[in-house]
Amino acid sequence: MAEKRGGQRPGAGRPRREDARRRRVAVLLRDEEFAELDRLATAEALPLGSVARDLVVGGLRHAAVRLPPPTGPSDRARPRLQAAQEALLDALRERDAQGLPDQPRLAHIYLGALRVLGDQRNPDRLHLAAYNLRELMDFLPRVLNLPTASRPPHIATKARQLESHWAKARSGDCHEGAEWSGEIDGPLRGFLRAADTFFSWFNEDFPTRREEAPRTLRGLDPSPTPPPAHVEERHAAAWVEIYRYFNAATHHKRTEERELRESLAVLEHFLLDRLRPSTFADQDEIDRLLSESG
Amino acid sequence: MTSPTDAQIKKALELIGRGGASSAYFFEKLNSPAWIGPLHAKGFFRSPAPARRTGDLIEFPVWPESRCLVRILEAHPAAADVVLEVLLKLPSTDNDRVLEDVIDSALLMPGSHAARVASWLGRVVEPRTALYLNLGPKTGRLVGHLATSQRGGGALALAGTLLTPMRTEGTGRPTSRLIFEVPTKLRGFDYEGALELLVAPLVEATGLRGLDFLSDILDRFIEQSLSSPHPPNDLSYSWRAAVEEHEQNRSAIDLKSKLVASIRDAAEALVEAGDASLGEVVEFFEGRKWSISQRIALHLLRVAGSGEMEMVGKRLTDPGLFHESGCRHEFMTLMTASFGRVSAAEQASVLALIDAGPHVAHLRRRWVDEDESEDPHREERRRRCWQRDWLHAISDNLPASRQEELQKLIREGGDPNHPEFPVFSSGVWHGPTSPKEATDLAGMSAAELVGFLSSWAPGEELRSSSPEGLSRTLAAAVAEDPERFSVLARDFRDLEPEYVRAVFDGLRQAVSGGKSFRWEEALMLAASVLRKPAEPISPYFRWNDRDPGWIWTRKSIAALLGEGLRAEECSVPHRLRADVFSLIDELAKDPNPPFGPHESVEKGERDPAEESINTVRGEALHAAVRYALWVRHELEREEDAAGKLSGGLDSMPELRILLDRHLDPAHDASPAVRSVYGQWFPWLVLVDPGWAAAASEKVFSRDDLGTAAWSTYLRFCRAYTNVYLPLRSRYASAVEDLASLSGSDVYEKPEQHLGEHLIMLHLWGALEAGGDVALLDRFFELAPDQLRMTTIDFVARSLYHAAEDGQEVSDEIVERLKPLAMKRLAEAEAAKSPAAYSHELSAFGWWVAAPCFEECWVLDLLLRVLRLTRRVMPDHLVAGRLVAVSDANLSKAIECFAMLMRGTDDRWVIGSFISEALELLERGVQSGDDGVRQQAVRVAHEMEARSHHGFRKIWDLYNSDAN
Repeated sequence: MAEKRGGQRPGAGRPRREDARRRRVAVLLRDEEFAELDRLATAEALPLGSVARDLVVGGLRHAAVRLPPPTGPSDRARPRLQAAQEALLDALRERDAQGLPDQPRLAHIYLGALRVLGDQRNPDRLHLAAYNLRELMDFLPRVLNLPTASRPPHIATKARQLESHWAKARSGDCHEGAEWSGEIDGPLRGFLRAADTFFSWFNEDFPTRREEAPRTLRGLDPSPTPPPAHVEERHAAAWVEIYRYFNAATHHKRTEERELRESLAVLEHFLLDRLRPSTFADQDEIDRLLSESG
Repeated sequence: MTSPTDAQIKKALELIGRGGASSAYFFEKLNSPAWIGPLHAKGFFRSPAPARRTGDLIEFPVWPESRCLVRILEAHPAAADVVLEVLLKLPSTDNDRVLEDVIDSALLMPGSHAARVASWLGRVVEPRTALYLNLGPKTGRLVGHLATSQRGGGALALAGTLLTPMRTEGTGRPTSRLIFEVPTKLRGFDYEGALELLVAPLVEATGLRGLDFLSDILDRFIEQSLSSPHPPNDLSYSWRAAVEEHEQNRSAIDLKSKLVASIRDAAEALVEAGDASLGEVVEFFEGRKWSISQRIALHLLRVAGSGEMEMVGKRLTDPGLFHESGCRHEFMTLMTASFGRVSAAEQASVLALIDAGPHVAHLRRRWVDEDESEDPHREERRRRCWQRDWLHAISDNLPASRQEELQKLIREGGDPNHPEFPVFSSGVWHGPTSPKEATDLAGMSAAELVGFLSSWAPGEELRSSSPEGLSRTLAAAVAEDPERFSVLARDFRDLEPEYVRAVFDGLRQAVSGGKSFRWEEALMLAASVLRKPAEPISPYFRWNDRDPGWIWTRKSIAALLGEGLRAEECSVPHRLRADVFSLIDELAKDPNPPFGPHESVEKGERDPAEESINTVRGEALHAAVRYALWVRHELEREEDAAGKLSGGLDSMPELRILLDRHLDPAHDASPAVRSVYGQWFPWLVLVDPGWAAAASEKVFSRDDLGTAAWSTYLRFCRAYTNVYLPLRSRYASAVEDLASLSGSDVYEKPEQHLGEHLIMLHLWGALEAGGDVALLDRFFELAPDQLRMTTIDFVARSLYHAAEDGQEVSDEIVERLKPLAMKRLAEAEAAKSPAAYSHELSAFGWWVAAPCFEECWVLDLLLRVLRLTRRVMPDHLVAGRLVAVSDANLSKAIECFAMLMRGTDDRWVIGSFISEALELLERGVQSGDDGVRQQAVRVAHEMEARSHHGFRKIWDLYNSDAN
């Protein structure tokens, strides 16, 4: 796809907008992971175009941790998963098993996304995979019991209450034809008050995805101490970015495999770091780094 | 020290980005100042973690970056420049833990750097209305650091920000009619802590300027605390009785008082060090507008003015100071200490002032306030007392002629009563006291004792001995020697009620203590009391250490009978059966409690069962049931006991009449009395099952009276299978009543015990035998979540404690319980919202903890419960049990533990089972199953990520085994 648009080398001469997006999204990715993806894409003939080779197979460092070999029933249709993907799938399965029986199964959603993404015969695979990945992000707080703002389902009821005030205001003296004029009368004052109450309620209970993202990420992170604020902000921005990307792809906006896989890799990183933290290995790395630097 | 390379910085960013645990660990371990600059450039050390507010609670999270700076400075003092640069760029923060780190950093810096940090801190703290944690004392320490580093200006500025009272709209909370509490940024103890740390170095560095600064703060306090500030009257005699440390300084939490002590110490130190002369300091204080400053000046003259008698003499002969009551304490103590050393002329002046007498107009105004009565001699009497006080103050140095005058004045008006204090506080009242000890009473002959009790009258003084005190002492004497006092009982019959009551109270205590006495005499005294009129307490009765007639004595008699009929040893002899019943019958006619519904009980202010043991008739009914058991006990010893016992109340017809009479609402509609039937119902079934079955409808009727009995029955009695049969329909209707149970809080409500009864009846098979198996299901269907929880909790908790006591639980019980648990779980799993079962499910923790259930079943149960709810109680016992059952299925046990761990953010909860967690994971990592080993190490990683340390051992074991 990207080759068609110019056949450039990965990263060379991309549109500026994409670079910015990539910078925001790829907050967790490392150079060696990009290189590893190149190797994998060639060696294992992953269905990636030349641009897609620029992408990441998420969580390669997790492969260094002694993870179990892929397990589960033999299934010819199952895509070949990287160790980190296996680990994430295992983590999601574990959390699914610990959840309520009627809850959506995160592992199924994730595996479904990977399968459909790997199915070269499916012409709509990118959009379908994006749909599942967006669903995965949507269901995470519910299945993992993460703190979220309450989203009461009765917004329609609230809106109807507001509408009744609106109807009264329109029938007041301030409104004639399509025009509003004069001093605020009783009905209009009532509407304005009701609108004030409505929007206070709305803002409190319906945070934007940008506001919700830090809460989700903090909920996913087992540590009681959050990362530094600017790191957390960058993560939240990347989280929202990939969500928006999956959402757009779900709605059949123009989607490229490279971008989709990149977003997938970031999502996998986010989840694996938090659901399967390798705390001691990380600590060992930190100790090494600090002792090397003196 | 080399700077990190770009690659190392990049690697650090990647590691920090892996989550909160990695980032916290990085900053915990970072110890090189060379990293600070590069990381700062990348955005670190710039955004302090904010305080978290939840309702009224505020939490100050640790900010690892600020902690890191303190640690680096401790190890590398030369890093002060780079740390200063970072700190000065910090934005304002509401996180006091971060501010503590900032102060700790500043304390490790040279004064020039610390002053710049202090300036930043002052700007941050200035708009705050409250400072928390240890911020007050720490800031005090920083002020001290600045002061000792020759940064007096900075020290004063920061101290001002910290200590100056906040300006408020209007006045603060009143602490008295005239004085208001003054708001400050620091709470009392923190304020005091800050003062202790900063005042000495501050004044040492800044001299009189520092004293001026502190005195200005004190002035602000005084101005803001007075409802009507008019210098010099600061009312300091009420909030700081003495400038020196003195037990009369009772306003321990008054910050003004703390400031006075600090200023006093600083002024003394200043003079002692020679940094200012006594004259300079005294004049400084005398130049201020409030009395307290004048008082400090007088205090200084007393403690440091021995070489400055000219200054002292000048003050002692100053008529203004002499008559200024606000300075009385310091002036009079200075007078006492120095009168003998001032010149003869000055002594004469003082005596002349005393001879002239007080400023009568002023005192007259006060005297009239105190006593409105007309007394033509009062003014002269007060004047002479005033002169006595002053002469007494200088009595060590009075000439002989004036000594005689003083003695005469003392003979007239008594000894002076702390005249050096305008207001002197003393004394605490501990309760009624007796004019005699119990041993004194025991040592008196009968005639002496009765004579004393008849003739003794309490004094009029406050806190003097009272009849109630004497009554209590008499009761103690009776309890000690009941035999003697029972013999004397008849001599007491004409005494006041409180003393007769004391006899019965003492005898009851004696019975409880296993002592015997002559019941005949006691019963005769009781009979004589019952012949007196039984009058209810007047609504206008106000207790004044006297009993309100005979009602309390009657209640004491009923209580004595109940105790005597209950006691195995020294109980009432059976030959007195008729006398005993006669008394009970008479007491059961008492109008206390009212025969109709009682307002306080109706309003729910008083529980009927509680009312029953605090009223005469209630106690009489309790005694009546004990009478039945007492008679039954005697019948058991007789020939043909079985036949007589089967006759039930036929063998005590007098009691049947009494019980039936008070069960008739037309005769007795007191809920308190009816509650007695409920409390004793199982024993009434024991005495006469037929009567109990026939009466059960009446006892537990569906009206308020029956409800009082039913509630009391549920609360006081456990379930009995033989009692269930006559009460089947009542249990069924009680279950149906749950549908209308309002409110979610069921603790301490009778319904809480309904579930306990039903589940026990189920375990014993009584529900099944009665064809009422569905009753328990119906209970769970209608009961709210918290009520279901108490039931589920109760049964398993009982099993747990039974096992702890070494009792075995039968298989039959276990097998009856398991399906119940599965049924409850299945219902919760099928429910739309498991949240509606959260309390009930959490109580299944006790089922896990109870050792009577087998391992595999427990693990399956816990897994299912944890899927539905994240929390089970009691977590630590559940964790312990997980270790115990892990042999059955180690993987499941670890999975359960992981869910427990994720179910709470409360560090204290997880902290309570860390050792169990370690043991379980150690077993896991040492198992032969690679999957279980990985599972264990995953949980260990997560525990460490959650800041529960000590799990690296698991990781090390995993790696060593793998290698």
